[in-house]
Amino acid sequence: MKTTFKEEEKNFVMYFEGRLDTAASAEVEKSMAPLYECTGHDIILDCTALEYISSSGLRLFLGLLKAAKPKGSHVYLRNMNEDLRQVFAMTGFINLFEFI
Amino acid sequence: MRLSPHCEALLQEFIDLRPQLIRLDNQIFELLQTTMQQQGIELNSIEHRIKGVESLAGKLERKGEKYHSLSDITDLIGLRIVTFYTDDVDKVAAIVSQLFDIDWSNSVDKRKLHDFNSFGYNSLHYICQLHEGSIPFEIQIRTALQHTWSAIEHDIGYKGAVKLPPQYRRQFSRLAGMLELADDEFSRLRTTMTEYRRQIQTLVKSGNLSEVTLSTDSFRSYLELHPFERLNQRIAAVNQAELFPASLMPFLRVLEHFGMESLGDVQAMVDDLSDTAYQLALSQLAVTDLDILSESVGLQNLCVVYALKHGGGRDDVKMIYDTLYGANESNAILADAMIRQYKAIGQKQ
Amino acid sequence: MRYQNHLTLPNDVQEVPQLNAFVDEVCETAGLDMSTTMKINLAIEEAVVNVMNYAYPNGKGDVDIDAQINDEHLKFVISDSGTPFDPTVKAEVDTTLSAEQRSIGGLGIHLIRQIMDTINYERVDNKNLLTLSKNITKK
Repeated sequence: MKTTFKEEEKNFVMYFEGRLDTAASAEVEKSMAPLYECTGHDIILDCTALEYISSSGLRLFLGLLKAAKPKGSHVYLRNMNEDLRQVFAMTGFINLFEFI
Repeated sequence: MRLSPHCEALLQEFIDLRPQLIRLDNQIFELLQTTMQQQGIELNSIEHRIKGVESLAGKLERKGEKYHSLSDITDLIGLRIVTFYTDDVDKVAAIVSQLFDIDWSNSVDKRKLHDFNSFGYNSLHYICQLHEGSIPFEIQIRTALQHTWSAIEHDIGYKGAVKLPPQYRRQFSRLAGMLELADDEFSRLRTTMTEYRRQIQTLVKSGNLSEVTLSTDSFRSYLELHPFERLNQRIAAVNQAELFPASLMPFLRVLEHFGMESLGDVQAMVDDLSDTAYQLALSQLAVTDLDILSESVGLQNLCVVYALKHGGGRDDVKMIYDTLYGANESNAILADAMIRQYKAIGQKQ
Repeated sequence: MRYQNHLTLPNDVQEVPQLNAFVDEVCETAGLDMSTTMKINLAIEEAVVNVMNYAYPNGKGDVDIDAQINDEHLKFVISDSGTPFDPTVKAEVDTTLSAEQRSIGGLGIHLIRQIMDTINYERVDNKNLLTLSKNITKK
């Protein structure tokens, strides 16, 4: 799983490439650290190349959302494919995030 | 340019007075803006300007002898209030006549002049002074459509040396007539909608929900009563979850698909099925430790229970997800899972 | 059509990619589409990771995954010889941990329930047996 962090306009963008399974989530958690300093920025998680996400990955996204909300930052999920959106629907997460 | 000594003197007086005029202009503008805001009148704009020196010079050159003193020139300071609706023009006029002293003999309600009057020139021109006395200033009041029209008309009709020939003047007139009708209609529509919304709110608050037809407006009013809050809180208590705000308006289409016709139908669903909806949510959530839920969780489970209790099957539950999240074959999997859970809590389809 | 396959993994979550490859192969043999394969992968990963995290608190151990395909079902049996552990029942929640730190099993079980048609736990011969099955007949 490859993650890339970029600043685009005033947003913090993280690109996810590959499979966010249980094995990958420990590493990914570390790479998401800069997103937590998000005061004054919105966060976009670009899921165009995200092939798979398991519950550990979902937890990472959720953890980020919970940290971002009190800071006033929005968390957007960009270009998520239908299959993964289904996973979000199954866990009810689909109601918690904004999809773009 | 040649000005008589009298006019030269006036011009000079004006130049000396300019700083004072600028202060006065700002004062009037601020007063108007604050008052309109307080009265809750939304305006397109309030424009204001001090007459330019060149412009005054030109005016003096043309008609200078008419003016004995500077206070005979009433548009040294000019403000234009542009409203959205025709009936706001009268409201604004009333306010202006209270804020300032109006020189009624020189003020014109050009709307009352019909002949040859272009739609764009239908406006009120008030010549005013501050209550405590001041140099006179002009306030013009018109609607946004009139304002736009007058700009276009000026551009097409009066720009350049060639005046608008008679055959085009009639077309102009017709267009102006249409715009005037539109202006009136907008006002009327706004009044009707305001009344309608007020009625819905009254009905909803009085509790006569079965008399209120299900619609976007009535549903929105109904949601202000937070009808799903108790159910949401019961569900959230399962995992000490936090409730995340969500818009419930998309559920209106689901309820309409169910054939619900009044708010009474919706409330009946809440009253009759909340316990089962709670059980259904509980059975899914108890084994997770999901501690953050959307405010739609209560209504979502209510809808599933409603569909299944009314003899619905997989397709009916799938419809709920199709409506909320977009049609997708995978929603069938969600529907199947829900049906399994429903049976697991001892309910029969 | 009958088919059987087997995989044994140590209790190390880094082995999960191997598990995914195994499940992909099984699902392809069963003629399932990509979408369904992904979901089954998700369910199996959740179940196996649960075992890896809880079955052997004192050290190493194996988890066995058996896959069977017949005309009606695709069935996975996940077994281990660790401490008795029924993932279908909610464990005592350790409220001193934040939600992110608490067992990831909870959300996983929820997903398994959504995706698989039946989920069954048994303790037999000192082994935990978790059977997950999906109906694959065309409707």
